[in-house]
Amino acid sequence: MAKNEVIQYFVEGECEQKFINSYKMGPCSFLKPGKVEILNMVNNRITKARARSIKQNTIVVFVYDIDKGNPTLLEENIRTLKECSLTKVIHVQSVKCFEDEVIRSTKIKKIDEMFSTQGKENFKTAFINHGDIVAKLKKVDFNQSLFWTTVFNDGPFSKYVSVSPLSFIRKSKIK
Amino acid sequence: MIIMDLKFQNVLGFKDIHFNFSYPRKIKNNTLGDECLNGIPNFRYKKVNIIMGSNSNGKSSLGIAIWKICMFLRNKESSNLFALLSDQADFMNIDIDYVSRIALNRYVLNRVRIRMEKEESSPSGFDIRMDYENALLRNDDTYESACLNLAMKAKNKDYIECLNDISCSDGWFISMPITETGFDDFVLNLDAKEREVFSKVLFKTLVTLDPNIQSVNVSSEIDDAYIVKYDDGKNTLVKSGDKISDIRYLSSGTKYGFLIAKVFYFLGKHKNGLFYVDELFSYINSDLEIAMLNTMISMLGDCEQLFFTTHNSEVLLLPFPLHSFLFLGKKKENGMALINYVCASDVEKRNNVVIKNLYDNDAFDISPDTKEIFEIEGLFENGEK
Repeated sequence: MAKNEVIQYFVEGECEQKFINSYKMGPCSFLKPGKVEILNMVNNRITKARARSIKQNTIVVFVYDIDKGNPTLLEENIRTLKECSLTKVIHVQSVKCFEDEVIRSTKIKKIDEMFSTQGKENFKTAFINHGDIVAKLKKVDFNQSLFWTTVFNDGPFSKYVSVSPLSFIRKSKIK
Repeated sequence: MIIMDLKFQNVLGFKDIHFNFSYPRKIKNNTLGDECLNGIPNFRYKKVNIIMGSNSNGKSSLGIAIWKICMFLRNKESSNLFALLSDQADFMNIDIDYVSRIALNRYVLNRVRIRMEKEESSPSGFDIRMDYENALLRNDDTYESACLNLAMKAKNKDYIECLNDISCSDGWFISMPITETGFDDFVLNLDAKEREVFSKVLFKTLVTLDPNIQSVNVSSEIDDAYIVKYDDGKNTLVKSGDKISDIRYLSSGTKYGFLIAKVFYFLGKHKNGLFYVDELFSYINSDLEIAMLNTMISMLGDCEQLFFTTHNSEVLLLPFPLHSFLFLGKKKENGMALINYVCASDVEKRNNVVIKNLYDNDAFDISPDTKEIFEIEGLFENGEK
Protein backbone atom coordinates (compact mmCIF):
# COMPACT_ATOMS: atom_id res chain seq x y z
CA MET A 1 0.00 0.00 0.00
CA ALA A 2 1.37 3.39 -0.97
CA LYS A 3 2.32 5.66 1.89
CA ASN A 4 -0.58 7.92 2.94
CA GLU A 5 -2.99 6.15 0.57
CA VAL A 6 -6.47 6.28 2.07
CA ILE A 7 -9.21 4.00 0.80
CA GLN A 8 -12.94 4.21 1.38
CA TYR A 9 -15.06 1.25 0.36
CA PHE A 10 -18.77 1.63 -0.35
CA VAL A 11 -20.29 -1.82 -0.48
CA GLU A 12 -23.62 -3.32 -1.41
CA GLY A 13 -24.45 -4.93 1.93
CA GLU A 14 -23.36 -6.36 5.24
CA CYS A 15 -21.83 -9.52 3.71
CA GLU A 16 -19.41 -7.50 1.61
CA GLN A 17 -18.65 -5.30 4.62
CA LYS A 18 -17.89 -8.31 6.79
CA PHE A 19 -15.85 -9.93 4.02
CA ILE A 20 -13.60 -6.90 3.46
CA ASN A 21 -13.19 -6.22 7.18
CA SER A 22 -12.17 -9.86 7.67
CA TYR A 23 -9.59 -9.88 4.89
CA LYS A 24 -8.08 -6.41 5.12
CA MET A 25 -5.86 -7.21 8.13
CA GLY A 26 -4.47 -10.28 9.81
CA PRO A 27 -2.51 -13.28 8.60
CA CYS A 28 -4.97 -14.23 5.82
CA SER A 29 -5.46 -10.71 4.55
CA PHE A 30 -5.27 -10.05 0.83
CA LEU A 31 -7.28 -6.84 0.46
CA LYS A 32 -5.99 -3.34 1.09
CA PRO A 33 -7.31 -1.84 4.31
CA GLY A 34 -9.85 0.94 4.14
CA LYS A 35 -12.96 2.18 5.83
CA VAL A 36 -15.96 0.10 4.76
CA GLU A 37 -19.43 1.59 4.68
CA ILE A 38 -22.63 0.18 3.31
CA LEU A 39 -24.05 2.15 0.42
CA ASN A 40 -25.13 0.39 -2.72
CA MET A 41 -23.98 2.84 -5.36
CA VAL A 42 -26.19 1.28 -8.06
CA ASN A 43 -29.33 1.56 -5.96
CA ASN A 44 -28.89 4.54 -3.66
CA ARG A 45 -27.83 8.12 -4.01
CA ILE A 46 -24.82 9.39 -2.08
CA THR A 47 -25.71 12.65 -0.38
CA LYS A 48 -23.48 15.69 -0.64
CA ALA A 49 -23.03 15.61 3.16
CA ARG A 50 -21.70 12.07 2.95
CA ALA A 51 -19.46 12.79 -0.03
CA ARG A 52 -18.07 15.92 1.63
CA SER A 53 -17.25 13.88 4.75
CA ILE A 54 -14.73 11.80 2.82
CA LYS A 55 -11.21 13.14 3.17
CA GLN A 56 -9.63 14.71 0.07
CA ASN A 57 -7.53 12.41 -2.12
CA THR A 58 -9.26 9.34 -0.76
CA ILE A 59 -9.59 6.53 -3.27
CA VAL A 60 -13.22 5.50 -3.32
CA VAL A 61 -13.99 1.86 -4.10
CA PHE A 62 -17.51 0.89 -5.12
CA VAL A 63 -18.40 -2.75 -4.58
CA TYR A 64 -21.69 -3.75 -6.15
CA ASP A 65 -23.63 -6.60 -7.71
CA ILE A 66 -24.24 -6.44 -11.44
CA ASP A 67 -27.45 -8.46 -11.43
CA LYS A 68 -29.58 -5.46 -10.56
CA GLY A 69 -29.21 -1.73 -10.19
CA ASN A 70 -29.44 1.52 -12.03
CA PRO A 71 -26.46 2.75 -14.12
CA THR A 72 -27.84 6.29 -14.22
CA LEU A 73 -27.77 6.43 -10.44
CA LEU A 74 -24.20 5.11 -10.46
CA GLU A 75 -23.17 7.87 -12.86
CA GLU A 76 -24.89 10.45 -10.70
CA ASN A 77 -22.99 9.21 -7.66
CA ILE A 78 -19.69 9.43 -9.50
CA ARG A 79 -20.56 13.03 -10.43
CA THR A 80 -21.40 13.90 -6.81
CA LEU A 81 -18.04 12.56 -5.66
CA LYS A 82 -16.30 14.47 -8.42
CA GLU A 83 -17.96 17.69 -7.25
CA CYS A 84 -16.35 17.00 -3.86
CA SER A 85 -12.93 16.55 -5.53
CA LEU A 86 -13.02 12.79 -5.18
CA THR A 87 -11.93 11.77 -8.64
CA LYS A 88 -10.39 8.39 -8.03
CA VAL A 89 -13.22 5.87 -8.14
CA ILE A 90 -12.58 2.15 -8.45
CA HIS A 91 -15.33 -0.30 -9.45
CA VAL A 92 -15.34 -3.80 -8.03
CA GLN A 93 -18.19 -5.86 -9.41
CA SER A 94 -19.58 -9.04 -7.93
CA VAL A 95 -20.40 -11.26 -10.91
CA LYS A 96 -23.27 -11.43 -10.66
CA CYS A 97 -23.76 -11.23 -6.92
CA PHE A 98 -21.81 -11.86 -3.70
CA GLU A 99 -23.12 -15.41 -3.34
CA ASP A 100 -21.94 -16.26 -6.87
CA GLU A 101 -18.46 -15.02 -5.96
CA VAL A 102 -18.45 -17.25 -2.88
CA ILE A 103 -19.49 -20.28 -4.92
CA ARG A 104 -16.88 -19.52 -7.61
CA SER A 105 -14.03 -19.23 -5.13
CA THR A 106 -14.84 -22.20 -2.90
CA LYS A 107 -15.64 -25.88 -3.30
CA ILE A 108 -19.35 -25.47 -2.54
CA LYS A 109 -21.79 -25.96 -5.36
CA LYS A 110 -24.76 -24.20 -3.83
CA ILE A 111 -24.74 -21.28 -1.42
CA ASP A 112 -26.94 -23.22 1.05
CA GLU A 113 -24.11 -25.72 1.58
CA MET A 114 -21.90 -23.26 3.39
CA PHE A 115 -23.98 -22.90 6.56
CA SER A 116 -26.59 -25.61 5.87
CA THR A 117 -29.14 -22.87 5.46
CA GLN A 118 -31.99 -22.45 3.03
CA GLY A 119 -32.23 -19.48 0.73
CA LYS A 120 -30.11 -16.38 0.15
CA GLU A 121 -31.47 -14.42 3.10
CA ASN A 122 -30.62 -17.16 5.59
CA PHE A 123 -27.13 -17.46 4.09
CA LYS A 124 -26.64 -13.72 4.50
CA THR A 125 -27.76 -13.79 8.15
CA ALA A 126 -25.45 -16.73 8.90
CA PHE A 127 -22.54 -15.07 7.11
CA ILE A 128 -22.98 -11.74 8.91
CA ASN A 129 -23.34 -13.33 12.35
CA HIS A 130 -20.50 -15.84 12.00
CA GLY A 131 -17.76 -15.35 14.61
CA ASP A 132 -14.79 -16.30 12.36
CA ILE A 133 -15.65 -16.04 8.71
CA VAL A 134 -12.00 -16.46 7.63
CA ALA A 135 -11.84 -19.90 9.28
CA LYS A 136 -15.24 -20.81 7.87
CA LEU A 137 -14.23 -19.92 4.31
CA LYS A 138 -10.94 -21.78 4.75
CA LYS A 139 -12.95 -24.89 5.56
CA VAL A 140 -14.64 -24.69 2.17
CA ASP A 141 -11.26 -24.22 0.39
CA PHE A 142 -11.63 -20.51 -0.26
CA ASN A 143 -9.33 -19.41 -3.09
CA GLN A 144 -8.85 -15.64 -2.89
CA SER A 145 -7.47 -15.46 -6.41
CA LEU A 146 -10.92 -16.40 -7.72
CA PHE A 147 -12.82 -13.86 -5.65
CA TRP A 148 -13.68 -10.56 -7.32
CA THR A 149 -11.49 -11.38 -10.29
CA THR A 150 -14.11 -12.28 -12.87
CA VAL A 151 -14.62 -9.76 -15.63
CA PHE A 152 -18.09 -9.65 -17.16
CA ASN A 153 -18.22 -7.60 -20.35
CA ASP A 154 -21.94 -7.49 -20.74
CA GLY A 155 -24.82 -5.70 -19.08
CA PRO A 156 -25.51 -2.15 -17.88
CA PHE A 157 -22.28 -1.74 -15.89
CA SER A 158 -19.86 -3.14 -18.48
CA LYS A 159 -18.31 0.27 -19.19
CA TYR A 160 -16.75 0.17 -15.71
CA VAL A 161 -15.27 -3.30 -16.12
CA SER A 162 -11.52 -3.79 -16.12
CA VAL A 163 -8.91 -5.94 -14.42
CA SER A 164 -6.89 -3.06 -12.96
CA PRO A 165 -9.40 -2.08 -10.25
CA LEU A 166 -9.66 -5.68 -9.17
CA SER A 167 -5.88 -5.70 -8.83
CA PHE A 168 -5.85 -2.35 -7.09
CA ILE A 169 -7.75 -3.49 -3.99
CA ARG A 170 -5.40 -6.44 -3.52
CA LYS A 171 -2.23 -6.33 -1.53
CA SER A 172 -0.47 -8.29 -4.26
CA LYS A 173 -1.23 -8.38 -7.97
CA ILE A 174 -3.55 -10.94 -9.51
CA LYS A 175 -1.49 -13.69 -11.11
CA MET B 1 1.06 0.80 40.85
CA ILE B 2 1.15 -0.49 37.32
CA ILE B 3 -1.35 -2.77 35.67
CA MET B 4 0.07 -5.73 33.77
CA ASP B 5 -3.02 -7.70 32.89
CA LEU B 6 -6.78 -7.31 33.14
CA LYS B 7 -9.58 -9.74 32.39
CA PHE B 8 -13.19 -8.70 32.65
CA GLN B 9 -16.35 -10.71 32.28
CA ASN B 10 -19.69 -8.95 32.65
CA VAL B 11 -18.02 -5.74 33.81
CA LEU B 12 -19.81 -2.55 32.67
CA GLY B 13 -19.86 -2.68 28.85
CA PHE B 14 -17.28 -5.48 28.70
CA LYS B 15 -18.86 -8.89 28.16
CA ASP B 16 -15.55 -10.71 27.95
CA ILE B 17 -12.25 -8.91 27.36
CA HIS B 18 -8.57 -9.42 28.10
CA PHE B 19 -6.07 -6.54 28.20
CA ASN B 20 -2.36 -7.15 28.52
CA PHE B 21 0.12 -4.39 29.26
CA SER B 22 3.42 -6.20 28.87
CA TYR B 23 5.29 -6.32 25.57
CA PRO B 24 7.46 -9.10 24.20
CA ARG B 25 10.84 -7.58 23.47
CA LYS B 26 12.88 -4.44 24.00
CA ILE B 27 12.21 -1.76 21.38
CA LYS B 28 15.25 -0.24 19.67
CA ASN B 29 15.44 3.55 19.98
CA ASN B 30 12.28 3.70 22.05
CA THR B 31 11.35 7.37 22.34
CA LEU B 32 9.69 6.61 25.66
CA GLY B 33 13.00 5.43 27.11
CA ASP B 34 13.20 2.16 28.98
CA GLU B 35 9.69 0.88 29.51
CA CYS B 36 10.63 -1.44 32.35
CA LEU B 37 11.00 -1.43 36.11
CA ASN B 38 14.14 0.14 37.56
CA GLY B 39 16.76 -2.55 38.08
CA ILE B 40 14.60 -5.22 36.38
CA PRO B 41 15.30 -4.53 32.70
CA ASN B 42 13.38 -7.50 31.38
CA PHE B 43 10.22 -6.72 33.27
CA ARG B 44 8.67 -4.80 30.39
CA TYR B 45 5.43 -2.94 30.80
CA LYS B 46 3.54 -0.52 28.62
CA LYS B 47 4.25 2.73 30.34
CA VAL B 48 2.12 4.81 28.00
CA ASN B 49 -1.24 3.56 26.75
CA ILE B 50 -3.01 5.83 24.31
CA ILE B 51 -6.53 4.57 23.96
CA MET B 52 -8.70 5.46 21.01
CA GLY B 53 -12.12 4.35 19.92
CA SER B 54 -15.43 5.71 18.85
CA ASN B 55 -18.11 6.78 21.34
CA SER B 56 -19.53 4.18 23.74
CA ASN B 57 -16.70 1.79 23.04
CA GLY B 58 -15.44 1.46 26.60
CA LYS B 59 -12.73 4.10 27.03
CA SER B 60 -14.33 5.67 30.09
CA SER B 61 -15.65 2.31 31.31
CA LEU B 62 -12.11 0.98 31.44
CA GLY B 63 -11.08 3.93 33.60
CA ILE B 64 -14.07 3.56 35.88
CA ALA B 65 -13.47 -0.19 36.23
CA ILE B 66 -9.80 0.33 37.16
CA TRP B 67 -10.80 3.06 39.61
CA LYS B 68 -13.49 0.99 41.31
CA ILE B 69 -11.22 -2.07 41.58
CA CYS B 70 -8.49 0.05 43.17
CA MET B 71 -11.06 1.51 45.60
CA PHE B 72 -12.34 -1.98 46.43
CA LEU B 73 -8.85 -3.30 47.14
CA ARG B 74 -7.88 -0.37 49.32
CA ASN B 75 -11.11 0.62 51.05
CA LYS B 76 -12.45 -2.94 51.18
CA GLU B 77 -15.97 -1.79 50.31
CA SER B 78 -17.99 -4.15 48.13
CA SER B 79 -20.21 -1.31 46.88
CA ASN B 80 -17.40 -0.49 44.46
CA LEU B 81 -17.93 -3.84 42.78
CA PHE B 82 -21.72 -3.56 42.62
CA ALA B 83 -21.25 -0.48 40.45
CA LEU B 84 -19.36 -2.58 37.89
CA LEU B 85 -21.77 -5.47 37.45
CA SER B 86 -23.45 -5.31 34.06
CA ASP B 87 -25.93 -8.18 33.76
CA GLN B 88 -27.33 -8.71 37.26
CA ALA B 89 -28.47 -12.24 36.43
CA ASP B 90 -24.97 -13.35 35.47
CA PHE B 91 -21.72 -13.68 37.42
CA MET B 92 -18.94 -11.11 37.15
CA ASN B 93 -15.25 -12.04 36.92
CA ILE B 94 -12.33 -9.69 37.38
CA ASP B 95 -8.71 -10.86 37.11
CA ILE B 96 -5.99 -8.29 37.63
CA ASP B 97 -2.20 -8.51 37.78
CA TYR B 98 -0.52 -5.38 39.09
CA VAL B 99 2.90 -4.36 40.34
CA SER B 100 3.45 -2.46 43.57
CA ARG B 101 6.68 -0.77 44.56
CA ILE B 102 7.44 -1.67 48.18
CA ALA B 103 10.81 0.10 48.43
CA LEU B 104 13.37 1.65 46.13
CA ASN B 105 13.89 -0.83 43.25
CA ARG B 106 11.86 -3.51 45.07
CA TYR B 107 8.60 -4.59 43.55
CA VAL B 108 5.88 -7.14 44.07
CA LEU B 109 3.67 -8.67 41.40
CA ASN B 110 0.14 -9.14 42.71
CA ARG B 111 -2.59 -11.29 41.22
CA VAL B 112 -6.18 -10.82 42.33
CA ARG B 113 -9.20 -12.79 41.13
CA ILE B 114 -12.67 -11.65 42.02
CA ARG B 115 -15.87 -13.53 41.27
CA MET B 116 -19.21 -12.04 42.18
CA GLU B 117 -22.66 -13.51 41.67
CA LYS B 118 -26.17 -13.08 42.95
CA GLU B 119 -26.86 -14.77 46.27
CA GLU B 120 -30.30 -14.18 47.74
CA SER B 121 -29.28 -15.31 51.24
CA SER B 122 -26.41 -12.81 51.48
CA PRO B 123 -27.25 -9.44 53.14
CA SER B 124 -25.86 -7.56 50.15
CA GLY B 125 -27.65 -9.86 47.72
CA PHE B 126 -24.29 -10.97 46.26
CA ASP B 127 -21.65 -13.56 47.02
CA ILE B 128 -18.10 -12.32 46.44
CA ARG B 129 -15.23 -14.80 46.31
CA MET B 130 -11.58 -13.91 45.87
CA ASP B 131 -8.11 -15.32 45.36
CA TYR B 132 -4.86 -13.48 45.94
CA GLU B 133 -1.21 -14.29 45.35
CA ASN B 134 1.92 -12.21 45.21
CA ALA B 135 5.58 -12.66 44.34
CA LEU B 136 8.60 -10.52 45.00
CA LEU B 137 10.26 -9.65 41.70
CA ARG B 138 13.87 -10.71 41.08
CA ASN B 139 16.34 -8.71 39.02
CA ASP B 140 16.19 -11.16 36.12
CA ASP B 141 12.41 -11.52 36.05
CA THR B 142 10.19 -10.90 33.09
CA TYR B 143 6.47 -10.50 33.57
CA GLU B 144 6.00 -13.99 32.17
CA SER B 145 8.60 -15.60 34.47
CA ALA B 146 7.16 -13.78 37.49
CA CYS B 147 3.72 -15.14 36.64
CA LEU B 148 5.09 -18.66 37.00
CA ASN B 149 5.89 -17.82 40.62
CA LEU B 150 2.27 -16.98 41.24
CA ALA B 151 1.08 -20.50 41.93
CA MET B 152 -2.55 -19.53 42.02
CA LYS B 153 -4.65 -22.19 43.68
CA ALA B 154 -8.33 -21.42 43.60
CA LYS B 155 -9.21 -21.04 47.24
CA ASN B 156 -12.32 -19.01 46.60
CA LYS B 157 -12.01 -17.21 49.89
CA ASP B 158 -14.70 -14.92 51.16
CA TYR B 159 -13.71 -11.44 50.00
CA ILE B 160 -13.41 -9.94 53.50
CA GLU B 161 -10.97 -12.62 54.55
CA CYS B 162 -9.00 -12.30 51.33
CA LEU B 163 -8.83 -8.50 51.38
CA ASN B 164 -7.10 -8.71 54.76
CA ASP B 165 -4.14 -10.34 52.97
CA ILE B 166 -3.91 -7.49 50.48
CA SER B 167 -2.04 -4.40 51.41
CA CYS B 168 -2.97 -1.86 48.78
CA SER B 169 -0.95 1.22 49.56
CA ASP B 170 -0.51 2.03 45.88
CA GLY B 171 -1.84 5.30 44.62
CA TRP B 172 -3.77 6.09 41.47
CA PHE B 173 -5.13 9.15 39.77
CA ILE B 174 -8.24 8.95 37.65
CA SER B 175 -9.42 12.01 35.79
CA MET B 176 -12.65 12.04 33.80
CA PRO B 177 -14.65 14.68 31.95
CA ILE B 178 -16.70 16.94 34.21
CA THR B 179 -19.87 15.35 32.84
CA GLU B 180 -19.02 12.17 34.81
CA THR B 181 -20.52 12.00 38.29
CA GLY B 182 -18.11 13.30 40.92
CA PHE B 183 -15.55 14.69 38.48
CA ASP B 184 -17.02 18.18 38.25
CA ASP B 185 -15.85 19.03 41.77
CA PHE B 186 -12.59 20.87 42.27
CA VAL B 187 -11.08 19.06 45.26
CA LEU B 188 -7.40 19.05 46.17
CA ASN B 189 -6.74 19.12 49.96
CA LEU B 190 -3.18 20.43 49.78
CA ASP B 191 -1.11 22.03 52.51
CA ALA B 192 0.15 25.62 52.21
CA LYS B 193 3.46 24.70 50.57
CA GLU B 194 1.83 22.35 48.11
CA ARG B 195 -0.76 24.98 47.19
CA GLU B 196 2.01 27.35 46.13
CA VAL B 197 3.41 24.73 43.80
CA PHE B 198 -0.02 23.86 42.46
CA SER B 199 -0.86 27.52 41.78
CA LYS B 200 2.24 27.72 39.56
CA VAL B 201 1.24 24.58 37.66
CA LEU B 202 -2.31 25.90 37.35
CA PHE B 203 -1.13 29.24 36.02
CA LYS B 204 1.13 27.67 33.37
CA THR B 205 -1.72 25.43 32.26
CA LEU B 206 -4.43 28.11 32.23
CA VAL B 207 -2.35 30.79 30.52
CA THR B 208 -1.57 28.33 27.73
CA LEU B 209 -5.27 27.80 27.24
CA ASP B 210 -6.20 31.46 27.69
CA PRO B 211 -3.47 34.10 27.21
CA ASN B 212 -5.71 36.70 28.91
CA ILE B 213 -5.02 35.11 32.27
CA GLN B 214 -2.50 37.23 34.10
CA SER B 215 -1.87 35.28 37.28
CA VAL B 216 -3.05 32.51 39.58
CA ASN B 217 -2.45 32.99 43.28
CA VAL B 218 -3.30 31.11 46.43
CA SER B 219 -6.03 32.92 48.36
CA SER B 220 -4.83 34.26 51.69
CA GLU B 221 -8.36 34.56 53.04
CA ILE B 222 -10.07 31.33 52.04
CA ASP B 223 -8.64 27.92 52.72
CA ASP B 224 -7.77 25.77 49.70
CA ALA B 225 -8.75 28.45 47.18
CA TYR B 226 -7.08 30.10 44.17
CA ILE B 227 -7.59 33.50 42.58
CA VAL B 228 -7.43 33.63 38.81
CA LYS B 229 -6.70 37.17 37.61
CA TYR B 230 -7.32 38.38 34.06
CA ASP B 231 -5.66 41.12 32.00
CA ASP B 232 -8.79 43.27 32.15
CA GLY B 233 -8.75 43.30 35.96
CA LYS B 234 -11.45 40.68 36.51
CA ASN B 235 -10.88 38.04 39.20
CA THR B 236 -12.34 34.60 39.76
CA LEU B 237 -12.08 32.77 43.03
CA VAL B 238 -12.01 28.99 42.76
CA LYS B 239 -12.19 27.12 46.04
CA SER B 240 -12.19 23.49 47.01
CA GLY B 241 -15.59 21.95 46.38
CA ASP B 242 -16.56 24.38 43.62
CA LYS B 243 -18.07 22.98 40.45
CA ILE B 244 -15.59 23.32 37.61
CA SER B 245 -18.44 23.83 35.14
CA ASP B 246 -19.58 26.88 37.17
CA ILE B 247 -16.25 28.74 37.12
CA ARG B 248 -16.88 32.22 35.77
CA TYR B 249 -15.32 33.88 32.70
CA LEU B 250 -13.47 30.77 31.52
CA SER B 251 -14.10 28.99 28.21
CA SER B 252 -14.95 25.27 28.24
CA GLY B 253 -11.41 24.29 27.34
CA THR B 254 -9.88 26.56 29.96
CA LYS B 255 -12.13 25.03 32.63
CA TYR B 256 -10.60 21.68 31.77
CA GLY B 257 -7.27 23.31 32.55
CA PHE B 258 -8.10 22.82 36.23
CA LEU B 259 -8.29 19.06 35.75
CA ILE B 260 -5.22 18.97 33.53
CA ALA B 261 -3.23 21.00 36.08
CA LYS B 262 -4.14 18.39 38.69
CA VAL B 263 -2.74 15.64 36.45
CA PHE B 264 0.53 17.59 36.01
CA TYR B 265 0.73 18.28 39.72
CA PHE B 266 0.27 14.68 40.81
CA LEU B 267 2.59 13.43 38.07
CA GLY B 268 5.20 15.77 39.50
CA LYS B 269 4.65 14.47 43.04
CA HIS B 270 5.16 10.79 42.04
CA LYS B 271 2.78 9.44 44.63
CA ASN B 272 0.07 7.99 42.43
CA GLY B 273 1.70 5.47 40.11
CA LEU B 274 -1.25 4.92 37.84
CA PHE B 275 -2.79 7.76 35.85
CA TYR B 276 -5.97 7.41 33.81
CA VAL B 277 -6.61 10.60 31.87
CA ASP B 278 -9.94 10.26 30.13
CA GLU B 279 -10.89 12.69 27.40
CA LEU B 280 -9.88 15.90 29.13
CA PHE B 281 -8.97 17.40 25.78
CA SER B 282 -12.21 17.34 23.83
CA TYR B 283 -12.45 21.15 24.07
CA ILE B 284 -8.75 21.77 23.63
CA ASN B 285 -6.71 22.62 20.55
CA SER B 286 -5.00 19.60 19.04
CA ASP B 287 -1.47 21.07 19.21
CA LEU B 288 -1.97 21.91 22.88
CA GLU B 289 -3.24 18.40 23.58
CA ILE B 290 -0.12 16.93 22.00
CA ALA B 291 2.17 19.29 23.94
CA MET B 292 0.42 18.42 27.19
CA LEU B 293 0.42 14.70 26.51
CA ASN B 294 4.15 14.76 25.78
CA THR B 295 4.76 16.70 28.99
CA MET B 296 2.77 14.16 30.98
CA ILE B 297 4.79 11.34 29.44
CA SER B 298 8.08 13.07 30.23
CA MET B 299 7.01 13.45 33.84
CA LEU B 300 6.27 9.73 34.31
CA GLY B 301 8.65 8.09 36.77
CA ASP B 302 9.61 4.58 37.77
CA CYS B 303 6.73 2.16 38.34
CA GLU B 304 4.29 4.66 36.87
CA GLN B 305 1.88 4.17 34.01
CA LEU B 306 -0.28 6.48 31.95
CA PHE B 307 -3.58 5.67 30.26
CA PHE B 308 -4.68 8.48 27.98
CA THR B 309 -7.91 8.39 26.01
CA THR B 310 -8.51 10.69 23.10
CA HIS B 311 -10.46 11.19 19.87
CA ASN B 312 -7.64 13.19 18.32
CA SER B 313 -6.11 11.09 15.53
CA GLU B 314 -3.19 13.55 15.26
CA VAL B 315 -1.84 11.81 18.37
CA LEU B 316 -1.21 8.81 16.12
CA LEU B 317 1.54 10.77 14.38
CA LEU B 318 3.61 10.78 17.57
CA PRO B 319 6.75 8.62 17.43
CA PHE B 320 5.80 6.16 20.15
CA PRO B 321 6.23 2.42 19.90
CA LEU B 322 3.26 0.71 18.30
CA HIS B 323 2.40 -1.11 21.50
CA SER B 324 1.47 2.27 23.04
CA PHE B 325 -1.63 2.59 20.86
CA LEU B 326 -4.72 0.68 21.88
CA PHE B 327 -7.99 0.70 20.02
CA LEU B 328 -11.38 -0.17 21.42
CA GLY B 329 -14.17 -1.08 19.06
CA LYS B 330 -17.54 -2.75 19.00
CA LYS B 331 -18.21 -5.79 16.86
CA LYS B 332 -21.49 -7.56 16.36
CA GLU B 333 -21.41 -11.26 17.08
CA ASN B 334 -24.59 -13.27 16.91
CA GLY B 335 -26.56 -10.05 17.00
CA MET B 336 -24.81 -8.79 20.14
CA ALA B 337 -22.42 -5.85 20.16
CA LEU B 338 -19.21 -6.82 21.96
CA ILE B 339 -16.39 -4.46 22.88
CA ASN B 340 -13.08 -5.73 21.61
CA TYR B 341 -9.57 -4.40 21.90
CA VAL B 342 -6.69 -4.25 19.44
CA CYS B 343 -3.18 -3.08 20.13
CA ALA B 344 -1.47 -1.51 17.11
CA SER B 345 1.47 -3.88 17.56
CA ASP B 346 -0.90 -6.85 17.09
CA VAL B 347 -1.77 -5.59 13.63
CA GLU B 348 1.53 -4.10 12.46
CA LYS B 349 4.91 -5.49 13.46
CA ARG B 350 7.17 -2.88 11.85
CA ASN B 351 7.86 -0.09 14.30
CA ASN B 352 8.67 2.56 11.68
CA VAL B 353 5.11 2.59 10.30
CA VAL B 354 2.96 5.71 10.76
CA ILE B 355 -0.02 4.43 12.63
CA LYS B 356 -2.20 7.33 11.47
CA ASN B 357 -2.43 5.90 7.95
CA LEU B 358 -3.55 2.53 9.28
CA TYR B 359 -6.12 4.31 11.42
CA ASP B 360 -7.40 6.37 8.47
CA ASN B 361 -7.84 3.11 6.59
CA ASP B 362 -9.69 1.61 9.52
CA ALA B 363 -7.13 -1.17 9.86
CA PHE B 364 -8.18 -1.57 13.49
CA ASP B 365 -11.82 -1.98 12.54
CA ILE B 366 -13.09 0.65 14.96
CA SER B 367 -14.56 3.15 12.56
CA PRO B 368 -18.04 4.30 13.62
CA ASP B 369 -21.04 3.76 11.39
CA THR B 370 -22.21 7.12 10.08
CA LYS B 371 -25.06 5.78 7.95
CA GLU B 372 -27.88 6.92 10.26
CA ILE B 373 -26.50 10.45 10.46
CA PHE B 374 -26.56 10.84 6.70
CA GLU B 375 -30.16 9.68 6.66
CA ILE B 376 -31.37 12.52 8.90
CA GLU B 377 -31.35 14.93 5.97
CA GLY B 378 -33.69 12.60 4.10
CA LEU B 379 -36.30 12.77 6.86
CA PHE B 380 -36.99 16.36 5.80
CA GLU B 381 -36.74 15.87 2.05
CA ASN B 382 -39.92 17.79 1.36
CA GLY B 383 -39.16 20.59 3.78
CA GLU B 384 -38.19 24.07 2.68
CA LYS B 385 -34.56 25.14 2.92
